[in-house]
Amino acid sequence: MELETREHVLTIHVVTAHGRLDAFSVPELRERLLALSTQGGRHFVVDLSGVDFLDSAGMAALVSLLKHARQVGGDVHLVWPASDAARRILHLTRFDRVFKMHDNVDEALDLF
Amino acid sequence: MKRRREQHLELPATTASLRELQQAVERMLATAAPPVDERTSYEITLAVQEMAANIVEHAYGGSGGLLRVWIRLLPARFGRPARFIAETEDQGTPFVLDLDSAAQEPAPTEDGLPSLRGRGLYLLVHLMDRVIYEPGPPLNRWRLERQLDGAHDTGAS
Repeated sequence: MELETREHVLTIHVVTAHGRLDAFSVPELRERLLALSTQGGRHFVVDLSGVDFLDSAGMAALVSLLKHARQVGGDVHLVWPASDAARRILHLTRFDRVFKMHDNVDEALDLF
Repeated sequence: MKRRREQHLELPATTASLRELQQAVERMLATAAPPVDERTSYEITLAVQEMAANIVEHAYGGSGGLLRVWIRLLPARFGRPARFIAETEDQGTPFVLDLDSAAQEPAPTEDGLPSLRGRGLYLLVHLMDRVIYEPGPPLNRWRLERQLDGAHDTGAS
């Protein structure tokens, strides 16, 4: 019998945003995500638990990331905002049907 | 906290102004009596933000200009519930806007992902009770209204 083994390492970038993720702050997020993607990042968990305000610009940045990740064989999972109001906006825009959503980062990493 | 029922802002049409406008709306809603719940405050602030962002990006193409905003709290009276009203004037390029179409969820892209565009107007239409857009020239005008009695249903479960 011949046996071969190899190590497969999955790198997942966990990006944690705090406060407002909106048209004003989104350029900084886009820049960080672009840097990670350029360095070869394919798998992302974006932790929105500390985000208390999310608008369409913030959502567009997440969609851009998902689009890029899928093009290179990766994926993006999101952690629900703690804010009930922000969660409702994700329901309203059906983001919870496009992204895999999790209650916390540990769950997101386990289910990647 | 002093109750503010009406405020007029004249802001450069930049993304930095969006933050100032958010804060003005939140401060006004924080003084409402009876108090406005967190969800309503968020949704109103978001709708005003989306309206202003549209003006910054589309009316002025990101090249600056002036954004005039009036925000008001109207108390309940004569059988009408308390309301928040936001109105804007800008001198940018008018858009061809079909609010009925904007109320429909933006179509996904070919790869099945959500569209990158159109979500702002979709949110605005769903978060407010009444949305009016009157294109210019010379002035484009928006008017948003939302009742403050918690009766609004976004449809989100």
